[in-house]
This record gives sequence, C-alpha cells and structure tokens, in this order.
Amino acid sequence: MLILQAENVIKQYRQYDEVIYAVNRASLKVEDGEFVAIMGSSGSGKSTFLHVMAGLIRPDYGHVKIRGNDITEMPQDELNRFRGQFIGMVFQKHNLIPQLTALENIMIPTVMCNKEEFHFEEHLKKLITTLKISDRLNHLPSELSGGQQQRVAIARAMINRPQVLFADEPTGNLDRANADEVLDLLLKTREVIGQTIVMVTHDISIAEKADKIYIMDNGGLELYKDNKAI
Amino acid sequence: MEYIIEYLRRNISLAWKGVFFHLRQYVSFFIAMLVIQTMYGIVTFSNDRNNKLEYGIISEVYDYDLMFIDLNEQQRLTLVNDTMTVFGDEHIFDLVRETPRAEEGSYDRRYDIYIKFVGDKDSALAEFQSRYYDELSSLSKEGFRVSASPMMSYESYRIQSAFYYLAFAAILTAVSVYFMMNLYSIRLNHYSFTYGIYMTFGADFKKLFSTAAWEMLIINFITFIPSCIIAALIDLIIYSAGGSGFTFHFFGIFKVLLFSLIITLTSVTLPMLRFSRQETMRALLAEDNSNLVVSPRKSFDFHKKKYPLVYEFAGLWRFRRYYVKQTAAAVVFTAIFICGAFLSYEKAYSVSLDMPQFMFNFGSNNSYTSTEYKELSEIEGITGIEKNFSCRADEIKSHVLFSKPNVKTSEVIYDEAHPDMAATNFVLYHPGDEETVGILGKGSFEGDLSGILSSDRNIIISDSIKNTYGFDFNPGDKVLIAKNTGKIKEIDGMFTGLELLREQFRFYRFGYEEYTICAVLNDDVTITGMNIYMSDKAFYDLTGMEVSYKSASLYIDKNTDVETTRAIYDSLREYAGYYNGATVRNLEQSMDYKVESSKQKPGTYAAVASLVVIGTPLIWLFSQILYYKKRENEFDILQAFGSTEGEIKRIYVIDAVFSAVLGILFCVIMDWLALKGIYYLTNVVLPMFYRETIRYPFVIPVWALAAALLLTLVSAVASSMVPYILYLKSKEVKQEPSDILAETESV
Repeated sequence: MLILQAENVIKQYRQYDEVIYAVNRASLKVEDGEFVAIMGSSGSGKSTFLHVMAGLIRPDYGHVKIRGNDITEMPQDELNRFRGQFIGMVFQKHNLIPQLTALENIMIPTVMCNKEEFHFEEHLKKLITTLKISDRLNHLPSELSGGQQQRVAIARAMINRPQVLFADEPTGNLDRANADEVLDLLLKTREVIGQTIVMVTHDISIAEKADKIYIMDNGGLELYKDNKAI
Repeated sequence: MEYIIEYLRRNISLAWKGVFFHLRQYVSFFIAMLVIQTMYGIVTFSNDRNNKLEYGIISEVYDYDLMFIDLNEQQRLTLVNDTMTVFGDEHIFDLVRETPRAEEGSYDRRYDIYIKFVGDKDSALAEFQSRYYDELSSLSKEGFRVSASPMMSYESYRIQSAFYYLAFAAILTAVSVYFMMNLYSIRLNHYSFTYGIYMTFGADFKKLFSTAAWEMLIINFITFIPSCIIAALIDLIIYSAGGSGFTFHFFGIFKVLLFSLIITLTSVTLPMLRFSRQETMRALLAEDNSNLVVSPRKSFDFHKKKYPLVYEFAGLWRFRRYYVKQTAAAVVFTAIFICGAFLSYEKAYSVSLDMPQFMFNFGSNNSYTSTEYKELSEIEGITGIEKNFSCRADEIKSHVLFSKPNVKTSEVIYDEAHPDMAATNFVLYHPGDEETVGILGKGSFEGDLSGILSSDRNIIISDSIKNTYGFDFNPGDKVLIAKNTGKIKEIDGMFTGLELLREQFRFYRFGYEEYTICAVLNDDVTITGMNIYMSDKAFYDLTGMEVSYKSASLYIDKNTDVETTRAIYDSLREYAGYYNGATVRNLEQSMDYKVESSKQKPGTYAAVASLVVIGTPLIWLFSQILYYKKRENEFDILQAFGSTEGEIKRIYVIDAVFSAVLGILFCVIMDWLALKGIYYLTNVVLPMFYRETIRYPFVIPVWALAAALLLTLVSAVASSMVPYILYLKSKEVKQEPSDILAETESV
C-alpha cells in the first residue's frame, strides 16, 4: 500500500534578484513499511525535500500525500495535528529543548498530541530499553553526549508510534561506531513498531541498509538502487 | 473525573516547570502581572470606596424623596396630618421637614414640605400619587409643584457609576493586554524554537495556547494576593492623605481576579494565533537572532563597503527594524503615563474650580439691579453673584469677522467678500458693567477689562470656542461685528450654525463695525460658542435689546456644610417670595464638590499612571536581555578571531547610546502626541456627549515629562549595559574549574 507520495515538488528561494531551486520537480512514492534513503551532496536539496514531505515547509508547487491526505493543502493547524498523529521527525541537530530533561523531551509528542486510545507507558519502556537511555532520562540535553542526544531525539520521534518517520541525517554528527549503533537501534525499533522510514544521509554504508536508495542532485531526485528488488 | 485530574496535573506540572526552571525568563511576566493586577486593584477598590462615599454624601444632602414647593396651608395639612397614620400599610411616608415662609402681599404662609417614603420607593410613590395628587391639586387654583430628589433614582447613579468603572476598566484592559502581548510576543520571538518543536510534534493552536495560558495562569495566581495587598495599601495611602478614609470592600478582589484572567488569556491568544499560523520550519530556524535581521546586504551597501569597517554600526543597521519596534513598544508606556498625569491634573483642576450653587431667576416681570445685588449679597453665606444676560449672534442674524492669523479653530468659515478674514456665528454677546468687570477679573485674562467701561468700541473676548482654545488674540487686536441691514431672499429654516452663516453671506446684507479687543479671557467658556462682552450701550446698539438681567448665579463657599446650605436655600426661597414668578434652583455644586474631592481621583490616576510606566524598562530590558543572550555566541566568535574585550564592550556602549537617542526622540514625539490627543479628547470629543462647562487649560505636566525622559534614558542605557554585565558574569562562571570539568564529563 502506498503510504507516501510526493509529486513534482518544487521549492525555490529568492535571494535578492536570484531564484534558487532547492527542490526541482522531485517525485517519490513510498510503500507502507519501506525504508527509503535519500542521498546527495551538501546543498543538493535533500533536507529541504524531507522537510517538505514532513510538512515543515510548504512547497511552491506540487503535492505531498500521506495516507492519501494531501498535506500541502491542509491549514497549518490541521497539518500540525496530522503530523502529531502520523509523522515522526528526527533532526540532524537533535533539536532537543534545552530546559527539559531527556524524559520530558521524549514525552513532548504525547503532551502535544493526545491520542486518547494510546497508552504510552509500555511503549516508552520498550523504547528507552532498546535505545539504551534508561539511566539518562532525568538529565538535561547539555548533560548528554551527542549519541545520547540523538537517541533521545529518536525516542521522541517514535513515542507516538508514527506511521512515517522522517530522519534528517540522524547519524551525521556521530562517529562511525555511534552512527552504526544508532542506526541499528532505529531499525530495531522500527521492527518493534512497524513503520515507514524516509532517511536523508550522505553515508553510503547507512544507505545500503535501506530498501531503496534515491540520489538528489540540484533539486532533482532519481532512484539509484532498489535493494528490495535485488 | 480521573481524566480531568490527570489533565490538570500534567498541564500544571509542565507549566510549573516551564516557569520555574527558567525563572529569569519569566521575571518580566511576574512583574508585569503584579503591575496589572495592582492597577486593577487600585481602580476597583477605589471605585467601590467611591460608591460608598458618594452614597453617603448624597443621602446626607438629599434626606428626602419628594419636595413639595410653595404649598398653601390646606395642602400642607393634608400631608402633615396623614403622617400620623400608623396602621399597617396606610403609612407610606414620613415628614422630613417643612419650611414656612411669608407670601408677598398676603397674610397667608407658604410651605416647602419634604417627605421620605417608607419601604419600597417605587410602589410607595405610585400609592402616594393615587392617594394625594388629585387632592393636592384641588386645594389650590395653581395646583402644586413637586420635585423628586436624586435618591428616587439612585439606581441610575449606580448604573452610571458602573458604566464609568467598566469604561475605565476597558481602557486599562486594552493597555494591559498591549503590555502583556508585547512581552509575550518578545518571548515567542526569542523562544520560537521551543514552540516550533511543539508544532513539529503535533501542537496546534489550541495546544500551543493552552501551554502558554497555563504558564501565564500560574504567574497570575502567584502574583494575585500580593498585588491585591499592594493595591489596597496604595489606596489606603491615597485616601488617608486626601482625608477621605479608606475601607476595603472584599468583593472587589473577585473583579480584579476576573479582569486579570481575561487579560492573561487575551494577551496570549493573539500572539499564539499568529505564531501557530506560520510555517513550522520558520519557527525552528529562529533559534538565533537571524529572524530579527533586515537585509544584511543592504547594510553593507549602506556603508559603501563590501564588509563593514565599523562592526558596531553594521550591527545597528542590520537590526534596525528590531530596534525601532522595540523602542516604540517600550516608550509608548511613557505616553500612557503622560496621559494619566494629565488626567490627574485635569481632575484636580476641575475640583478646584468655583461653580455656582444656586440659580436665581427673577421671573419675566422683574430684573436684576443694584438693589437686588445688595440684598442678595447680604444673605448670609452668599460669597459671589454673577448676573446673566446674553444674546446669541445667530438669533439676531449677526456674526463676527476675525483676522486669519488670530484664528486657530475650524469653527469658522471663509467668505470671498472678506478674503483675509474668518467668520463665525457661534458667539454670545453680553452686556457688561463694573460688576461684570469685577467678576471677570477673578478669572484668567490679559489686557484691561475696564476698557469696555471707557469706550463703546472696546470689547472683552474669550480665546476659546465651543469649550476649546480657538483664537490667538492680543489686547489691541481688531474684530468686525456684523449687523444685519437687509436681505435679498429669505433663508430656509433648516440651516443652522455655520451653514446658516454661509447662506446669510449669500442672501443677506450686513454692516460692519470695528471693535478693539481691550482684554482677552483665557478660561471663560460656553459650550455653544464664544463670549464677547461690551458696554450696555454697545450691546443695545448691536442687538436692539434693552439690558435687563433676568437671572443670577449665586456662589457659596464649597466647604459649606449641608445644614448651612439648606439655610441659605431657605433664605433665598424666602427672598424669591417677594418677586412674582421668581424661582431658585439649587445646583448642588457644594455636594458635587464634596463628592468629587472625596473620590481622590487625581491620586488614583497618578498611581495608575506611575504603575503603567513600569512597562518601559520592563519591555526594554526583557527584550534586550534575550536579544543579547543570543548574540553572546557571536561575541565569542569575534573574540576567537581577535576582538578584544574592549571592542566587545564598545558594541554594548554604542548600542546604549543609540537606544538612548532613539528612545528620547520617540519619547518626545509620542508623549507630545499623546498629550495633544488626551487634551483634544477631554476638551472636544467627550464634551460632545455631555455638557461640559469647564475648559481645561493645555498644560504640559513638566514633572511627568521630565520623569518620562529620565526613565527612557535610564531604561535605554540599562537595556544594553545590564546584558553586558550578565555577559561578563556568564564568562566568569564558564571559567570556573568545576564547569570546565562538567563540560569535559558531558562530552
């Protein structure tokens, strides 16, 4: 089943008299449960495309549908609620709120988006055990290492069991060992929850673990490798 | 129930942590809320106290419900005998007092009878009317005259008082919401990242609003009791100093709570609504001050350099919009302060004015002469007499022409036939003699008032029109007064005022006489136009009316007690009995003075204005501390690339100087506009809705302006130098060995 569909997405920025196409007619289709990696050099537009698909930025042209809902047409309030219900987001720079503890940061989505039928306690235990952050829950982000901060960010993105997880170079700031560990944890957690992952990375060894690898260049997107088919 | 408890627990816990973990961020909100609630407390508690005081004074003066005037003996007995009824509901009124007087040309006596109803006033009145009115009418061929005291309709006073309170509260609410909204917008601007994360993970407006509202409500509840105590203490000081005595009305605190809740919720709604409508990524990206920067490339172009050689100036230019917005937002509170100070002055001025206590009308067949002046002056308690007689210019098809440079009002028109002149017919002509000159001499004037006694071509003129300053006259200036000499065509009766004058220019013929201004009156006002005084002969020549004063305004000492005022009134009524058709109207100015002076409004206004102005340093400091906190990283980078500490300090100092200059400029402009605006509002706009008889002089409250300028200067400098001190402290803290160790451990 098609869970994510981006069609002819264009996002441009105007810098004085110059127009820069960060995303230029990019299209992507993702099946439910797939793990898709988007690669590309710095400035190729992959983060912008990911943010458009997550509804954090409005495209200038084109549509993004998640679960058949066109999020580009949604009013901002409705889009925020939809994201809280179905989308998880891991940022490259973790983006943890500095004044809240690790646990409080993880719990933000549950506070912001009350899923009445959802009991997060059991799920939280599983997540923090899998991500190995049980003993760091009452620490502030400034008291955590980069790897630990990223794990907290992943836990935060997954606490609401989103159907689609967008990850923007989640291992970009980590060393090899930490990067592999975080990715393994992410995939393990994905198995526990069962979800779709769209990840932006410039690390080929990480991308190789994805079902499909896309390459982004100058705002355009192309399928590079279909590991699933292979 | 469990869900509600869990909901409250989670929200309060999160908000509590949000507030107390970063208490420094919220200090401004604590102070702002304390100030707002204290302002409401002062106004609300004083309003409750004023209602009580007003009722006490009015009920002392009006100790009756109905006053029957000039009853004959039979009518009197009808009422007096019936007060002896003691059975059941037969007894509906008590006799308060009766004042007998002799009747001119008769041995009979006349009586003023004052009665007070027992029980419900409305039903008692209805019963009284059905029982007595026909009988009283039948006992005299003139019928009877009755006057109701304000106590009969005191509820309408209460409604009026409640309306004034609500109107004042609405203004206070608008100021308070603006205050809190500004603070909250600053907070949102600087902490948009946090809210951006909330939006990323599903927060819609409702959620963002509730998060913000819970935090503000916690602050609200914490500051509530202290602010009520402070407000009560301030009121206690104001009322004790004014000699009115202060008592606290417990119910008032609920009104304060209600208004502060309204303000809290309103002030987070709009900023949050605007914030939640923006793209989520914009909120996330505003982690530094980049969202405050305006066109950095233009700032380089401004210096005609590829890179700014004076870094500090480039910074000022890049953040120019931020500086202007922030300075305006802060300084606007000094303008509100000036308005409050001016209102305080106006209130004190109006209380200090002498107003007539009685209006003596001599009836159509009598007039006021030197004999009456002497006799009225001899009545004990009368301190001043002002005889009244005038003629409206438009009634006699007249108008006045002024030289254009003298004219500062729009209540004039210009006619082609008189290219250098302006004309108005909003004029009252008065005859004037020595007595008039003496009375006018008690007011504020320039020139020689007695000029009208020495020449029929001299006039005394007021410099105001319709209760506001309108002319720049000097003694010796000339005006032309028109006298109608004929007409080409009749004018439609629908025209009035200046439109009538425009028509008169077209179809009437006028002869003009030149008059010399011998004196200019500065505080002589009439709501219908302007006053011109001239000799009796000049008045007759102009209007064709014999000078005959039909009424006189009588003054007493404002502090005269109720019993003495009643005695004076009775004496005047006795005196009026000698004139056929003469009446005396008690204007109760003495009571009004007592009511107004006991309310302590000047002190209340000054206290509220002084609290409002706290907004200036608060907004400035709050904004700048957050702004510089984010720039600290920039300064660290500059130092890493070779900037000295002195150069960093220079950025702060230049900012302080720039903020001070900009602040002073804004302060002067805004305060001046506010002063003009409030003067126009109280002298022109509000008098359109009620008959204002006072023209307030335009006074610049110098002490308030000086305080506003000083506060602006200190706030501007502090808003840059306090962040600098904090920056230095944070650098000291960072260099502690334990911090270095902590940083190493965390890595």
